[in-house]
Amino acid sequence: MKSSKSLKSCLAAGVVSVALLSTSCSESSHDHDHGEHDVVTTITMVLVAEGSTDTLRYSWDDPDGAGGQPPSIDTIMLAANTVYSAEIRILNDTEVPAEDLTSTIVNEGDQHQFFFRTSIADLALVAADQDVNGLPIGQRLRLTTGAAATGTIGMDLSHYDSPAAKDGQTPSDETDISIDFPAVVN
Amino acid sequence: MTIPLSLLLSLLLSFPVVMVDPHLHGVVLDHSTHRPLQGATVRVLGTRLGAITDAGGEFHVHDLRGDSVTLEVSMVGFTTQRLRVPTRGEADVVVDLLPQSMEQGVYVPTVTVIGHSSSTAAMPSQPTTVLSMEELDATRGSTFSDALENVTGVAVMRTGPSIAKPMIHGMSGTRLVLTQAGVAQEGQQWGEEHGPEIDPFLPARVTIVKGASGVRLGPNAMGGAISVDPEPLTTLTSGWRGEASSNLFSNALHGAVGGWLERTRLFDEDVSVRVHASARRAGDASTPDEVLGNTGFSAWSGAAQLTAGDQDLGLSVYGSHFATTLGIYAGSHLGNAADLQRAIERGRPSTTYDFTYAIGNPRQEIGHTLLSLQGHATLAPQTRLKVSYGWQQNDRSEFDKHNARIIGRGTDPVERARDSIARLQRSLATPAMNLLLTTYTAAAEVEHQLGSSIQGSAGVSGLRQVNDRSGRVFLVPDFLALGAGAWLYENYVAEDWSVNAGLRYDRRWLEALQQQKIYEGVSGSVGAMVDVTSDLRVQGNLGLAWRPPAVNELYSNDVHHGVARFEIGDSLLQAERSTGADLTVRWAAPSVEIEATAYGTWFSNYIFSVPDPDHPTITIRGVFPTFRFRQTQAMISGVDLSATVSVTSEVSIYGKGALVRGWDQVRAEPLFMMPADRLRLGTHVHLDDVLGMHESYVDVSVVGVRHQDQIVPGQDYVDPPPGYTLVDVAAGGIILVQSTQIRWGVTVRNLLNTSYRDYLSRYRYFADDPGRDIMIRFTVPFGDPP
Repeated sequence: MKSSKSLKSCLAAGVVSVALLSTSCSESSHDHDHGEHDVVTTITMVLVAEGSTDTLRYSWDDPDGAGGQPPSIDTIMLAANTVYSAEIRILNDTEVPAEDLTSTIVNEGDQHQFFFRTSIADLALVAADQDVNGLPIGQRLRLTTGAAATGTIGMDLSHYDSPAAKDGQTPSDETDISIDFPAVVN
Repeated sequence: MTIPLSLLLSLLLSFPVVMVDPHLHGVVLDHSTHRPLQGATVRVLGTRLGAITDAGGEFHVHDLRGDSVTLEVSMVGFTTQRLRVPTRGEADVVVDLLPQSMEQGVYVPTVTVIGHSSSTAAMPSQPTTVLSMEELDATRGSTFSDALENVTGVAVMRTGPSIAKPMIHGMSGTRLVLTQAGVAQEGQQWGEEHGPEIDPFLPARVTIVKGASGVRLGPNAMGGAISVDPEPLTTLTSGWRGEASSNLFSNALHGAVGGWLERTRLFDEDVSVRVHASARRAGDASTPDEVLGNTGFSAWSGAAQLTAGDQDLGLSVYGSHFATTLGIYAGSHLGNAADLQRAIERGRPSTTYDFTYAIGNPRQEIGHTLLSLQGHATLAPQTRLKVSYGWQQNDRSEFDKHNARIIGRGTDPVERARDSIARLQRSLATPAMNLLLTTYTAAAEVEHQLGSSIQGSAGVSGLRQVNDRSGRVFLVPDFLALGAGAWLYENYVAEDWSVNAGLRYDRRWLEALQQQKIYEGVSGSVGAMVDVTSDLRVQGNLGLAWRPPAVNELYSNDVHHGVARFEIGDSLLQAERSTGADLTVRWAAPSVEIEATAYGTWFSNYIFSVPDPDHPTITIRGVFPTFRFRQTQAMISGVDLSATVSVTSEVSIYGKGALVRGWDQVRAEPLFMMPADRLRLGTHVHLDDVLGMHESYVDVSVVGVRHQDQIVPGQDYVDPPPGYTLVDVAAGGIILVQSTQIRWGVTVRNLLNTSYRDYLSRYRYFADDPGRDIMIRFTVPFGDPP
């Protein structure tokens, strides 16, 4: 008990105020804003057969995002031996009305590219648009069907950190969209 | 919270005291130079107890009996000293040895007792390693965990150069407890890319306990414990002193400065204070072939400590803040599993990065603030009360790279473009996930002595923890957790053996997502230590431990981008429980020291994540492998071995090896992410005086790490990397500039610039581990001599 009384009370006051300080600190996160992130929920493929005025729409839709309910996926129905011009629309339908994000991709076309794949041998998918550097974007495309078949049509949207990284052939390591539709050609 | 505290305080300030601790720690110094002496023999007369001092001149003797013992300290070339020292009390002993060349009889031995609150994580019979401030000084790396890597049985899981998580005996994260200033650090331990938030520069000593430490530390201490205790601050002698340190690392052009300053016996009262501050900045690290983009980091830290009172009645207040911003390797943040597969097949980054100090997305920003109050008071002869209160807040923000799908609002095109840019900037500045974890802990224990041979402790502890999350990534929910525990342990000491036993009960309440859960468990331990001869000691332990499931294991439900996995928690998980056994044999003859530990831990309800190949998660970004948290019966066993042979008084040869095996007994297959077999062989040359330097040393070692073949084929994206061999070189010493003893050291890690990938490195899928790193360290002490 060498400490003087005044020192003890100073210490006690200090300790109590430090403890008070700690309990009065906020326990809630500063930022409850969910960010300005635009969510992609829906991909719609809009198709028009050459010489026709009918518009076909097929959607891949996952309104609750990753996990939870599985996405609802339309089956793309195509006529045999037909050429279609097609367009891919990218939507966020968590907003009302649904937000169309397609123009962002097209405006940043030199940093994006759609790559297509299909299990149907007799089906060709070719990009019909170009970015400012003359490389394909693939937001608009041409489908050419052959004989009747059943399979899948898939697409991958690659995002490039810089226009220099895009060469028109190599997918990036940052895939923004990667989906598959069942498809029937008859 | 304040009312009980002021009560405790009045208790603290009004009782007389005596202390109970069977452990003596000391340092042997050369009387003429005050430099530590390595290899001095310390014997406890009348017993078979003894020790040999380490490189820092330090020794530890456990299981002392009686109020005081007589130590005999001898070393070739020095006059043998005998001195009587008290054993009751957490005290350090400083022994000055007189060189024989000096005239006999002039020297009066000085015994200085330093008030020292030793770490209480370990039972006396557990394998324990203590790293002194000087040892930490010589092994300091870019992160706190780097200094632990030299401890046999400890492995480090790395996420690049800035994040390193210690792993003891194959257990890490929520299976270990790390305490700072007596308070268990509560961060987001669950993440593999979440390292402990501790400044490597802290003036502290670190105790590593291998094996279940649940009785002392409660749930989670299944694999062991790491205690970071501030360097003792005396209130006995008046003075001021400090140290300034600087570390420079060539690999990432990383520079760090730190220092501390203390004033003891302020106003000639029993009050001492110390402040500490440090700052560091590192750019991108490099492998032998390329720059690892966005792996730079910066950090700063500050701490203050106030100690008042004496050994009978005292209080210590400790506050610290650690803040860091760290980049996550740009090539590791991938869109989906197919991207990961492509990155692996390519085997190197798709882009070439230029070195920079700039930190872009993805990145983490973390702040950790700790406040610890610790008091002790003697309630009655041989009964001592210790109380502690801790408050800590861990603020973690993680920023993703993929935030770029932003469109402007408005009808006017110029307006839209401007809005788009503004939104993008806001988006990049908004964390994908922010977690604010606030934890209050309080504990009280009574250390007591029954008769002359039994010492022990009984105590209670409580915890309140609140997590508040925000952001769109959902890996852990908001939660409130409460905990309470009570324990008792006793240690019986006989002439050349001792036994100890402890029991603890804990209960945890968890409230998250409108669910309420209660977990409870018993921790227990029984241990014994026998000195078979004066050179040979055998010690063994049996331990029960448990942990409640971590919140991410219960509720995680999102893509983990670094590993391109969709992780799904299971809210029905049961508490994980373990039974462990270990046996350590230590043979310490004058020129040979061998320590071998064998251990086994059997788990029921071992929690781990397993792929669910039948239910891949289909998202708009593609298909992710689904991982679910499951429970199984498992066993982790292994061997640690270390040996040192002194060839001459200057040259010694050493070896350290560790072997760990994890086995899922239900699925009959190896556990994921066990450290690969590891062996380090080296030679240490110690020269007292060379080129005007004191205590200089050169250390050359080779570390070999075997290919991890204990795996389930096809479980991981890629097979474990091949084994590797690295050469490390270190040199250091003390330069006397006027009367200032400047400690210096140079370490070259990966001298031959070998390309390699460690199995526990999380970047091994994408890139090699860092190449050669030359580290230069300086520590300049100033002020009054200690």
